[in-house]
Amino acid sequence: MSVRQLVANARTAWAMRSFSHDDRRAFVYGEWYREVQRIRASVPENASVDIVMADADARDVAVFAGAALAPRDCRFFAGWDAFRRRERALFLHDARAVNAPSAAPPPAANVVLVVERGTIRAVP
Amino acid sequence: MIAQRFLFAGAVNGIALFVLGALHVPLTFLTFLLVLIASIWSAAAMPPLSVTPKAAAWLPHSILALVLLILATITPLTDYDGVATWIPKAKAIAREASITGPFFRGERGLTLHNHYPLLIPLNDAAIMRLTGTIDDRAVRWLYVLIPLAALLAISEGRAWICFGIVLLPQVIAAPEGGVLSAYNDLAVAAFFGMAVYALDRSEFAGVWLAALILTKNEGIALAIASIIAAAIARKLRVRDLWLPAVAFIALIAWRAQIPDAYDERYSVLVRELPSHANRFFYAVVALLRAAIDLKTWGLFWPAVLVAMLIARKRALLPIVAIAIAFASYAIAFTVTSWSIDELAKVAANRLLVQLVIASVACFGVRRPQETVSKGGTDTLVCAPRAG
Repeated sequence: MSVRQLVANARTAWAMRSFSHDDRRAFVYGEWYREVQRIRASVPENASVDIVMADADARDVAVFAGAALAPRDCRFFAGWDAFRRRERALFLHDARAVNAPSAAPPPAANVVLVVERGTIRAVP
Repeated sequence: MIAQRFLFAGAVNGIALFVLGALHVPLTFLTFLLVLIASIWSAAAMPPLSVTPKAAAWLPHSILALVLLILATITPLTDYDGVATWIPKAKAIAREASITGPFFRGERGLTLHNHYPLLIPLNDAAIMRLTGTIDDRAVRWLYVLIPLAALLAISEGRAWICFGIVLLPQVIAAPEGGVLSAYNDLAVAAFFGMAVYALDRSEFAGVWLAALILTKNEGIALAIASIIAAAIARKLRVRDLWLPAVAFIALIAWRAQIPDAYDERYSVLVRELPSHANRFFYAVVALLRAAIDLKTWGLFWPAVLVAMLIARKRALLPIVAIAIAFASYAIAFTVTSWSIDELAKVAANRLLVQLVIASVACFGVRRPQETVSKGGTDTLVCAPRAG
C-alpha cells in the first residue's frame, strides 16, 4: 500500500463514517457479505456449510466467506463435479507444501452455498 | 518508557499463553485475565532499555497513532492474510479456549498455515475474551500500536528518524496495508528490532527473541540471526538463550499435537536446497530489486545502506543481524518451487518489512553511556545492570 492508497483509505473511511460496521464490510467486500450475514443469522454455529467455488475467481470470496461464517464448519469444493464426488478443494498445488489434513469425504452439510461471479447464494 | 513496556507486556503475554496452551491449560477468561495481569506487572517491573523521549517526540507520535486508530476503527480489515489466516486463529482460540482444539485439529473450518506460531493471535484472543467481542474490530488497535511502539522505543523518540525516514512509507503504508492490516510481519519487525536493540545494549533480550520465535516462522530465522550477530559482536550471554529455547521447545511440542495444513514441508525444502543452489544469486538480485523500488520504498534501503557504512563499527550487531536475515530470505527464495520473480512480487516486500525497525538501529541511535555524556536533553532511565 502506497501513501496515495493510504489517503484513498482515509477518504473511504470518511465516506463510511456513518455506516454500521456490517454496512462498511459490505461496502468494501461486496454485496456477497450481506448474504453471508443473512446465513450467519439463520444457521446455528454448530452447523456445517458446503461452499462450492463454481468459477476460477471464486476462491478469495469463498475463503473470506468461510472466515466470516466461523465457527460453522465450512468445507470447500472446487466446482460442482468435486462437490458431487465429495472431494475437498486443494488450495495448494505444490509437493513442497501440504494441504488440509486428509480426511474421509465429508457428509452432506446443513447448508450449501455457491460462489460464482463474485456473488454468493444459498442452494435450496 | 511506556512504548517499551507495552511491547514487553504483549510479548510476555503471548509467550506465557502459548506455553500454557501447549501444556493444555484451558485458555479461559480467568487464564487470560491472570496472565495479562502478570504480564503487565512484569512490564512495569522491567528496567527500561532506552532514554525517555522528550514530549516533542511524543506529540507527533500520539497524533499519528490517534489518526491511524480512527482509520482502523472505521475501515474493515481487508488484507487476505489477516482475514483468512490470522484473525480466524484468534477467534478459534477465544471460542475453543485452546490452541489444540477442533479448529487446530482441522475439524472446524479452514485453517490456513496451521503450524504458524500464535503469539499475536493469542494476544488477540485474550482481548476478544476479556472484552467479550469475538470480532476483529476488538483487536485492530494492537496492529497499529505494536510497530509504532517499537519504532518509538528504538529511535529513542527522534522525530527525524521516525517521520523523515521510516514511519510514513515503511510502517504506516507498508506493503499490503501496513498498520491497517492484520498480517503479522510488522509484529515480527517490532520484536526483531527490540531483540537487536536489547542485545546491542547487553540487556536481557530473551523475551524479544522468544517473542520472535512465537510470532512467525521467519521469526526463528531472525532470532538465530540476532543470536549469531550478538555472538560475533561479543555481546551474547547465556541468560539471553534460555527463554528462546523454552519458546522453541513449546513450539515443537505444540506442532506435534496438531496436523500441518497449508504449511510448507521444510524437510523437503531443506533436502532440495543443494540442487537449487544455483538460484541463490537470482534470489539475492530479486530481493535487492524489490528493495530499490522507489515506488514502494523510496530511498529507505539506500539510506539504510549508507547508514550501515557510516555506523559500521558502532552498529556492528544490527548490521550483521540484518545481513544474516537477508541471506536467510535469499535462501528461502532459492529453495522455493516458484519462479523467483513471481515469488518476489508477492513476498519480497513483506520480508523486507520485517527488517525495517531493526534498521533504525543503524541510524545513529545513541548508546546509554553516550546519553549520559551529553548530559541534558534526554533523561537517562536505563539503570546500570550487573553481569
